[in-house]
Amino acid sequence: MIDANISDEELVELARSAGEGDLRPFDRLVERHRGRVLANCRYLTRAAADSEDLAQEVFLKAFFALERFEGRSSFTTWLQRIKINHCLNYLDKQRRRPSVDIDDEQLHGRNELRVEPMAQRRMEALSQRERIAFILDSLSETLRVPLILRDADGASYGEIAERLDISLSAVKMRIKRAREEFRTRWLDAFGDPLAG
Amino acid sequence: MTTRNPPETVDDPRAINTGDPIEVLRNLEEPVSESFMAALDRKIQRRLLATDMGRLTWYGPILVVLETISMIFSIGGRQRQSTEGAKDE
Repeated sequence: MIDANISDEELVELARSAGEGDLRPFDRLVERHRGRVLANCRYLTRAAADSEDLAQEVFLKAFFALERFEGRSSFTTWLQRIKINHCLNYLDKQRRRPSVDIDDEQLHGRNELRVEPMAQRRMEALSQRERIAFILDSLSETLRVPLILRDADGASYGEIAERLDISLSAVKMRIKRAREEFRTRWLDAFGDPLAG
Repeated sequence: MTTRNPPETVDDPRAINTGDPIEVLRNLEEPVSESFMAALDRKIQRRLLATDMGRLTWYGPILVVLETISMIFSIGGRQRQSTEGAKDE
């Protein structure tokens, strides 16, 4: 029986000493972090259908890298790095595949892509989670990724700059713009966020 | 009239429940499916099995060579012993 109050780092120790056949300590770690990891995978990549697979792959990588966890940072921070790398690699692969860019200006006039008034009304009935997905999915990758890393994941500006291989000032600029875009789009679509 | 900029929520810990839409991004979580843990455990077990198979393919040829060498030496040793034994007799 694993104590409910045990820390993540103690669970890592238990998972290491449990041996390969006993996944219970690691499962406990997964249960604690899966909701957050899944949300990040979902919103970073915009891949709703693949997000569970992505989250599982993050935990799979973490499991086989547990021996290398040195405890210099918290388990959450360590897991966050694995998750960010995995999601950014996924985005890189997606970028190399031919696809239609939904931000393409030429597509905006096409009838099949017009939002019907009925769809507009349906937006009012969306849950908070669906609203978040709606707004985040509408942002370009350039703005969406740093925004999620900063405001949902709590990564530092420096870390985001390193991960995205851009300058610190570019990170700050993108996050500022992303927040403005997010606020504007949210208020236009739904009004007060806390009104539900 | 002065306009106030919306607070930068994450950077400003005092900005809690201000009505800023960015707040919805905090502690963002998604509900996982019921099969999530079972699917993850299956993936881990499959990878463990593949790692074990990998170890076998690594060690396999080396073990065969070592066993062959030790067999040759033990046969040679037994033959020498029996030859020397026959001479003594």
